[in-house]
Amino acid sequence: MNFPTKSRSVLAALMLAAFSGTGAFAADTITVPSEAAVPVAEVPADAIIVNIEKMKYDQPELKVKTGDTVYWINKEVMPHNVAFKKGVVGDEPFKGEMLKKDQAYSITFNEAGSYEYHCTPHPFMRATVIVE
Amino acid sequence: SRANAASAPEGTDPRAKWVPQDNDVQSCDYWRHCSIDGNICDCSGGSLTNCPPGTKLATASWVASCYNPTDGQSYLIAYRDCCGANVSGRCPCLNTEGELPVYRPEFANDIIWCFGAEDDAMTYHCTISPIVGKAS
Repeated sequence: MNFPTKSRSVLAALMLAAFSGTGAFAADTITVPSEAAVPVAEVPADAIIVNIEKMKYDQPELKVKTGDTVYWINKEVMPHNVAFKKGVVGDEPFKGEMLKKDQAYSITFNEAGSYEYHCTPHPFMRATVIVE
Repeated sequence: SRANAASAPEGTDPRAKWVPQDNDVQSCDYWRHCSIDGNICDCSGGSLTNCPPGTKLATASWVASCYNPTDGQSYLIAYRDCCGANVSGRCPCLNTEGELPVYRPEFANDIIWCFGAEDDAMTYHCTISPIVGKAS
């Protein structure tokens, strides 16, 4: 017998569905210089950096100034990203590209406020950027 | 049920230790499929690392460290689902090397990993097995 079945848990999917968003994004609160992940070599030497390693963001609360650009760098093989729930940076949820090892993703914060973010496939990975 | 999705080939012991091979991508014991749950995309118009035409590739995924018998190295495989079409029904497999319960979602393969697919597609069609890096 060869049943074309697949019983991945829809409940589990729903549990994580809250954390899914769509890629393309443009809003005033944040600007994304590059939708695609960039090699770590392209990160400026004086950049504000959040490293991602061992299933966590190394700066749970990062304080920056309005207009600053934050670079996230994935230091491990496990893919990670930066995602905001609905209402944090706009009416729609925002989901950044997945980063492989030694790839970076940057976001410029244009408005003061507190921006809590998470990793799409790893919702227990959370941190905040506080823009003053 | 999951048991149906991955019935072991006739004459093999489904409980025996998983023995990977490196010559047939469409077989459940291909080394990169060490933690696949669902259907191999190569059997429905996709490939080992590409979705079939008309389906949407998810960005998020679960992962596993799979041992390659050819070079003796282990690689991290990011099992990304191709979504937005009904399940292919071809080459069903279920392997769970290093798989963990759903409270450790990064290694849980029961989840429908369609997050980030275009058009918010959440219907499972098949799974690809791309390498994302070398596992230690």
